[in-house]
Amino acid sequence: MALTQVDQGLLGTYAQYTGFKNRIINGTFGINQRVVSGTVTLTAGIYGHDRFKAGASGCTYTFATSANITTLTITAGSLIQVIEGVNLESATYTLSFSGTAQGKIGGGSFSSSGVTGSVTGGSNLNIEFNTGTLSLVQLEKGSTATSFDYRPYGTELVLCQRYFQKTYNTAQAPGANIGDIRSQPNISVPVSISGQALSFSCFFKTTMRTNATIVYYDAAGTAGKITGIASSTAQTNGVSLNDVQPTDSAVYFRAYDIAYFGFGLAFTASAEL
Amino acid sequence: MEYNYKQVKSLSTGQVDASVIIRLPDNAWIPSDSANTDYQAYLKWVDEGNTPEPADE
Repeated sequence: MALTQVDQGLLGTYAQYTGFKNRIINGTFGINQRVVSGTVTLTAGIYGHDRFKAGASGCTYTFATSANITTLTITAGSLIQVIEGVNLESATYTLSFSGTAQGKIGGGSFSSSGVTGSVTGGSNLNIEFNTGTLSLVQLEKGSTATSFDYRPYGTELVLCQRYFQKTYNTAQAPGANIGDIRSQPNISVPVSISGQALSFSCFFKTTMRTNATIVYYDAAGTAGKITGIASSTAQTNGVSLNDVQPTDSAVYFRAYDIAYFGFGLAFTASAEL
Repeated sequence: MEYNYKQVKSLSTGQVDASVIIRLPDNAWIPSDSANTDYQAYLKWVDEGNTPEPADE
């Protein structure tokens, strides 16, 4: 049967079930690449759960996950997600969430779930929450809050990795002591002829928002150092690296050290807003 | 968080490498990219009258 007419009433009803309406990334707080835990205390501008950073007065929160729903309890300060302008069109948007915290859109006022605001397409937008409990955060086009847009975990992770990613395993916090670096398949351990400079590039898991800031670590978790591989059984932490050149898609490392056959390191790449 | 910064010397030219700056103490290598918020913070720090440490010889 040919489709000759669209029932606008049904369209309005079913539209709330369509995916990718939520402009907030990690609205479930399910992605935690920095592996924050316990009482999370952040100074202004520092990130906790992916895509959420502390507001101007910092932020303190705890969190708990039950039945796959993570709820934050913000006890001090505020938490902000900056939505990248390329993901926004000019329109009225509605901010919805569960919990007792209050949220605001841009320069608007804090209010309970169902906050509306006018948004300018192409411009970065701050979404901010004050103290209280908070989960299932959603910003969607229109003046009515609809059902939460659940996205697959892997999809959400990739969305986050446009802004921050790491070579560590999922459960390893950046700067963790990872022990024997040669047993870490996610860490680059190139091998060269001893006595020569070593250059290598690592491609990011996804293209980042802009040229990324790189923090690299040796196996002991010391920032700004790498691990030298002297033999099949020996590694030395605290080795210096000579050059790092990041872009939005890869990072190039160069090391000079005649004492080692290879080098290993872990790194984070950040292009946060 | 209070930061300091340090210049990097180009291995190929021996001159200061203007394409990156190191943030201390976390040793972050920040590309000279105006869209990078860490680089924006560095430029603000310079505008406030601060000067990065010279590169290692």
